[in-house]
Amino acid sequence: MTNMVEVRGLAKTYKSNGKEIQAVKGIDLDIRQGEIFSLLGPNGAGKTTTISMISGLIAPSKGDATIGGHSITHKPLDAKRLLGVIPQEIALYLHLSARQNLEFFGKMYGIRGKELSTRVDEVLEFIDLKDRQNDKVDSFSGGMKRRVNIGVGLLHRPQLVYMDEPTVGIDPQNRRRILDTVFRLRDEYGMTVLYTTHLMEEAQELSDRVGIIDHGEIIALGTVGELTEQVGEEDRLIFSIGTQTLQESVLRRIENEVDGVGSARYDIAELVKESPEADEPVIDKRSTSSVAVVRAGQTREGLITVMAKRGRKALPDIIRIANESGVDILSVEVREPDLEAVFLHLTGRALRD
Amino acid sequence: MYQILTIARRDLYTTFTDRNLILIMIATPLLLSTIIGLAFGGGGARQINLAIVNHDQPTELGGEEFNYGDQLVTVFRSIGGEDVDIAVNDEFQDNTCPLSNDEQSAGNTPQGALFDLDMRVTEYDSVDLAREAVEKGEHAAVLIIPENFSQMMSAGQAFSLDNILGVGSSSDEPAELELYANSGSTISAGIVKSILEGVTNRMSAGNIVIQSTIENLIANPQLLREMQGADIDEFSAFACAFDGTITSIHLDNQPLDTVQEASAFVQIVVSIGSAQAAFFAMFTAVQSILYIYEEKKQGTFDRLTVAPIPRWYLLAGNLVGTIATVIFQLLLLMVGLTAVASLVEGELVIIWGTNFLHLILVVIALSLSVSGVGIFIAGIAKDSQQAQIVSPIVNILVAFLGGAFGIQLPQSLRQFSLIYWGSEAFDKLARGNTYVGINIIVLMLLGVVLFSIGTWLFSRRIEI
Repeated sequence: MTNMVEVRGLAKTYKSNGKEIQAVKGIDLDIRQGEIFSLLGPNGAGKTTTISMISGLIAPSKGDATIGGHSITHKPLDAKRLLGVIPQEIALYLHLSARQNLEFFGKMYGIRGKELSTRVDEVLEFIDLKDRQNDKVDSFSGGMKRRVNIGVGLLHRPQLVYMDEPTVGIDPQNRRRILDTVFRLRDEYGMTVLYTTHLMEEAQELSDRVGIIDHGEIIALGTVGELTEQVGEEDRLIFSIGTQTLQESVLRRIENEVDGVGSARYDIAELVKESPEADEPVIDKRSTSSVAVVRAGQTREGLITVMAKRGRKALPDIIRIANESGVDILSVEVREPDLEAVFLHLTGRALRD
Repeated sequence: MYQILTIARRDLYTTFTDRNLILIMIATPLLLSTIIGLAFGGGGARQINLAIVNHDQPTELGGEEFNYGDQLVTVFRSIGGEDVDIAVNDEFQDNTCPLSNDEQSAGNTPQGALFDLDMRVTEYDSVDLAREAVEKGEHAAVLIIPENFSQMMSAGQAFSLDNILGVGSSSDEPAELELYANSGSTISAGIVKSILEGVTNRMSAGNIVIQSTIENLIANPQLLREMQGADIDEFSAFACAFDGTITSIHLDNQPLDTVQEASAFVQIVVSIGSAQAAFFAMFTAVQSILYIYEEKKQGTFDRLTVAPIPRWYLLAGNLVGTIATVIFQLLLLMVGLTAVASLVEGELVIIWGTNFLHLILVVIALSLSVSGVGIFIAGIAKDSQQAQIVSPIVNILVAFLGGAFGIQLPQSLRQFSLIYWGSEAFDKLARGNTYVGINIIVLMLLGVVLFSIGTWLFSRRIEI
């Protein structure tokens, strides 16, 4: 399979207060033609800088990248012709209609006349906004705006589509529609998709391959299966015990008595509301588990995290030991190896940190 | 290039579909210009700038020197409300023929109109200079009084015995007054001619009386003999007798297209309106250029950056859009001010003159200059907010210097403002004067210099 994107020694150095900051440290990366490639990484990892260099927004300090064989430093216009960018923010002229936006950006790609009109119609059909094409974008819902945002990036029929967290802040229905669109781009139009997200489930569902970037370096690269193999086959079992106290001996008993358990540890989760309005669910910012059931007024949660092979089989024994020790298990979550775990395994911290 | 024009077209569309912006760009300067025009020129006197070249030499009559040329000048100055020596007027009145029919002569003069006139008289020594000034539109007309005017007017000459016997012998050399008018000021020139005719008609009336008296004297030699012994003062009533040739007034117009003469309101609207238009256009220019910052905020700038076009296209498109916006704004304001002036005057008034080629050139030069100021401000400011603060200060200063607020500073200061050069050019063209080359050159130069420096600075700011 040929590569749509080839990145070689790409680096970016900024100067800040007289100090040199290496945002991207000479990365190498290949994205194959017709695949959905997700680039994962926490904020400040160098993800945006890398994509900005590939898409020609900023010039690299070192190295080069090619899109469809065209160098982004030597033949940037040829490279850009093959690239469609769908930014996270709604990058549209809100005072213009959906059609006017599509026409304007189409003209920027040198499309005009009847061809432009035909392509605009096609895209409006694709994003399912033909009936609202002459309405100002300003009057659209968030999901509709995002669809126009996507449409603009597809109008010139790019071979490589870069989508930057396109599902942020939209309702589940529109989110599903966008994910389906990504599949259609690959399956129906043969496009290569470069996708960035911080949602592990999304990356796991969509990606043919995933690259994990941290501190300006690619730390892992491969299919979801290849990456999860790196953390072994252990499941993660997360037991919520609320504000009850836990004896260290309980953890040792679980480690020693339950078959397949590798380790058991106790964490106190700082509970932070996802939004000021929401009562539940609450996101645990400290522990590696993501969701815990919380009672009203509770701000801290005790969690027992157990790493075990064949985790579901180990569950009854762990619950029994807890009961025998006088600890009530309030909730249980079984997490099979995922990208989150891969990231934790590789960096020692959660992707959201 | 296609993309540059597309960006420029989008800028135009964005600007002219924003109701609030239109209110600021078009309605406000229109309103201000109208208010200033009505306050200083509405219903007021029509201003006529008249040049006079008085070559007249005084003549002696009954031992006294008379200079009828000076008297004519005094008449026109008195119309302008100048504090003239009343005695001269009285003398003039005394010298008019008491036998003439006042009512009739009054009917021939534009007396009724005199009170609505603001006659500004400028005297020149040189006919050529005066003609040139008229051609430039500085004056509506020039009245040239010949050297022999008083001599020909002289009652003393008329009453010398030789002349009595040979009336009209002096007409070999007629005392011809010349009125050389700017065809762009036909109404003013017509008024001047009318006044002139009124005055000379009174003189002619006296002349007719003299002629009939002389005929009577010839028919009655006894009476003539009695009169020869009489005191000359007794003939003072005949001082009004003038040679009939003076009625030969020659109205010489420039071969220019005929345009309507402007009232004081229209003149103020042209002057203040064009200055206000330029003033508000400077704000438009800055806003239009700063739209790039807005685009950066919205993310559309980045989206354009990843399009397969050179980065400088983005700035070029914005700048072309800015100039086009300013041109449209100026043109719309010119149309708007024409409409306002026509409404006030009660008829369609082409207030900007009819030399459309020059008008377009001035509009383009002014737009370039105004946009130059805009990009310069955007370039020197650190960011959008700073530009928003600096812009009004610079614009108001430039407008104040240029006279956009109706305060006329000395020309040595005014010429530092692009508004002065623009407004003066429009003023000239409105008066039928096409000598606007220097204005266009200054505006273009100013525009090119500011544009170049501003573009360089701004492109660094926005990292293009």
